[in-house]
Amino acid sequence: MSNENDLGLETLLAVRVQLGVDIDDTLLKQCFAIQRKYQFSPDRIQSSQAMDKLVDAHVEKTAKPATGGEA
Amino acid sequence: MKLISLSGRNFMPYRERFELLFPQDEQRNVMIVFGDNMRGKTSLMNALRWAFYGEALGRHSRPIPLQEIINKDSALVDDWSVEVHVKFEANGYAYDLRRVANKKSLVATPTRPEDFSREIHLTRDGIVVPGDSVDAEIGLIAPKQISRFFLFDGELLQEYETLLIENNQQGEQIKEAIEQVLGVPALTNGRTDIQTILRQAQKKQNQDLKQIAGLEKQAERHAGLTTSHDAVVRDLEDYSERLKRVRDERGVLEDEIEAAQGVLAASTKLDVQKSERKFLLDECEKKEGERLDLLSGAWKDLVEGVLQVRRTQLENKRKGLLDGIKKQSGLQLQVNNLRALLDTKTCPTCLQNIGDDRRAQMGAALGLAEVELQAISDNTEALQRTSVELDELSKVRGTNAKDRLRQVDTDLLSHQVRLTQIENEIEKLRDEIAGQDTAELQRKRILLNEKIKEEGRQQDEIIKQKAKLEEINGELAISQKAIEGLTKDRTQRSTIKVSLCTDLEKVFLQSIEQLRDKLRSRVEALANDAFKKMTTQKSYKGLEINKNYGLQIIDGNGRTVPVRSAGAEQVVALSLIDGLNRTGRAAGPVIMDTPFGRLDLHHRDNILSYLPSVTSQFVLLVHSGEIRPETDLKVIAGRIGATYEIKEISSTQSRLERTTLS
Repeated sequence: MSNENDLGLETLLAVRVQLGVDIDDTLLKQCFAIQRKYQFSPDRIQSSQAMDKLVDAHVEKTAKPATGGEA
Repeated sequence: MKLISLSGRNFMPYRERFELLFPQDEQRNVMIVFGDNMRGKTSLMNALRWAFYGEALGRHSRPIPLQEIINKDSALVDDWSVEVHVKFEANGYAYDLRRVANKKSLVATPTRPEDFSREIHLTRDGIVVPGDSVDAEIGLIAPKQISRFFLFDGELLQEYETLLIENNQQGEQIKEAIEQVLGVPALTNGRTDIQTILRQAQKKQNQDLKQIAGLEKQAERHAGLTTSHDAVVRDLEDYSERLKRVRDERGVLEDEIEAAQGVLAASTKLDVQKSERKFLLDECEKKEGERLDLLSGAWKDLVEGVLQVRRTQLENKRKGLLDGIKKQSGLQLQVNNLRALLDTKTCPTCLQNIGDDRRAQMGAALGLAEVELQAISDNTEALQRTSVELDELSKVRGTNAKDRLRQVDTDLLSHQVRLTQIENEIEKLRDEIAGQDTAELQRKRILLNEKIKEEGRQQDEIIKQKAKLEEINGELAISQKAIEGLTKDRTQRSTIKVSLCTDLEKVFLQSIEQLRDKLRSRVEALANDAFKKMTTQKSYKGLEINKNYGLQIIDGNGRTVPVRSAGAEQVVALSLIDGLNRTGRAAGPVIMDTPFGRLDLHHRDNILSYLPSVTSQFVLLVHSGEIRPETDLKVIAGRIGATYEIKEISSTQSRLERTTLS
């Protein structure tokens, strides 16, 4: 696809550093990949569900060490 | 992206199967389709648009209902099916896209789009793309939002020229549309998705907090903020929805008023025509009267010759009679004088006596005069009779009726021809204004003013709600931090999720603004590049973009050029569209419908030279008034890969024919 998508991801990664926000590189890239896939789709349910799933997976991964694997 | 072919049937004027084969040679990537107005140039663009996005657009970019897309003649014989098929290549794949619509079996005559069943089939390298992924797949190749920059017409050019007018309301809307595209939906939609997930996570977090002793108060406050946040978001959505509705209604009213203004103009014209008709009818009546008068006196021309002879005779006679009377008077005076001399016997001059000899002579002369006087009869009565007769005859004169009748007949014929034209015009105008009424126009004007005010109110509300939302977000962030410090195992997951989503939302929000700035600069650079290639004024330094995407021409001294010609504005708008197109997608085809309205030959040549070099294919839909095939295509003759001509079959049908340029 066109360059503006690379520019979009580049911007996201740069802004994350500017804001000093602790978000994993991979998570940001995965979020962007989902949005890029559905960016012109009028039905927002698919992208929203995919994002929710991705965020949940990340939360699960982050929470696990502290909770000792609590479900 | 590269188009291979466009074909279909029953689409607008193309009842029979039509096919366009796009040029594939990169060095000969220009295709020109010639067609007179109303023959189907825009329909070809709409066929592509319908195949890709399922909609065809009419004036002011309003969708054309599906039942109107189907060829009128086919609809008359109850054939309500339409099909468009596009083959293209993109990102290394071969695509085959087919869109079909058919009347539903239980519908007798379709009157709305819902009366049709629709199907779309897309294959990629021969493998079927699932139905629910077709739009997303097309979105990756040729996004609908960007289609207005590569499928465009003179109307869009004009729309973009309004961007150049400061504080123009339409310009504001276009700016919003551009930002929607340039803000990259990947980021704007991403933020929306994250906001939705965040709201859900906050609710879950509140539920979790309520379960923990000691945190009830914090949970309650947080829940209150979340509820307020949701309420403001809902309000914002409502206001945005209302704003959209008001704008749509305003658009409809503007169209109706524009149409009604045409009616008003027609009504004024009708009055003028009626008044001219009355004048002509009066003139005809006068001419008819004149004609009758001429006919009734035409006999005078026939007897004019005879009468002229008689008049000459009478005039001669009268002259003789007058001479006689004059002579009689002279003789009477002579007789009287001689008698007086003979009676007085003295010369009245020298007072001497008159001699007998002399008196004898005088007596003789008196005798002769008296004889002569007696011989002259009294002709006074005859003179009167002659004069009367002459006067009567003078009244009967020839009128040159023949020539005058010819002139009257010519005038009458000319009046009648004009009357026929006026009658036709009146009939046409009456049809035009049938069912319309000027009071209705006034009503709509007031409604329109109200809609404009309403739009302003909605925009103000949106600004207020956004400020309120920012405030609540700030409070929520503080509350969230507090919760994070107090969190227990039970709430850890929901708190982490809220925290993560909050951070993600911040990153996406900030990125949208930064990306817009970067893209605006890119649009400026690309538009500049295009402008320099297309303008004929080489002393210009280039273009400068403002925050509204308006472009200003900068002269050689770095100053803004304040007044621009219509042609220059069109080139600037075209440069902007080219910049937006190349910013919004990878190189692809550009299809332009009737784009050269106000451009001079040099600008047109520059555009024809430039655009094929920055597009994969350059398709021009033109009429003979814009481009004369025999003379105007020299500049791109070597790049033309295909030419077609739209031929008229009837007022409701056209067909495409491949042609060659001579």
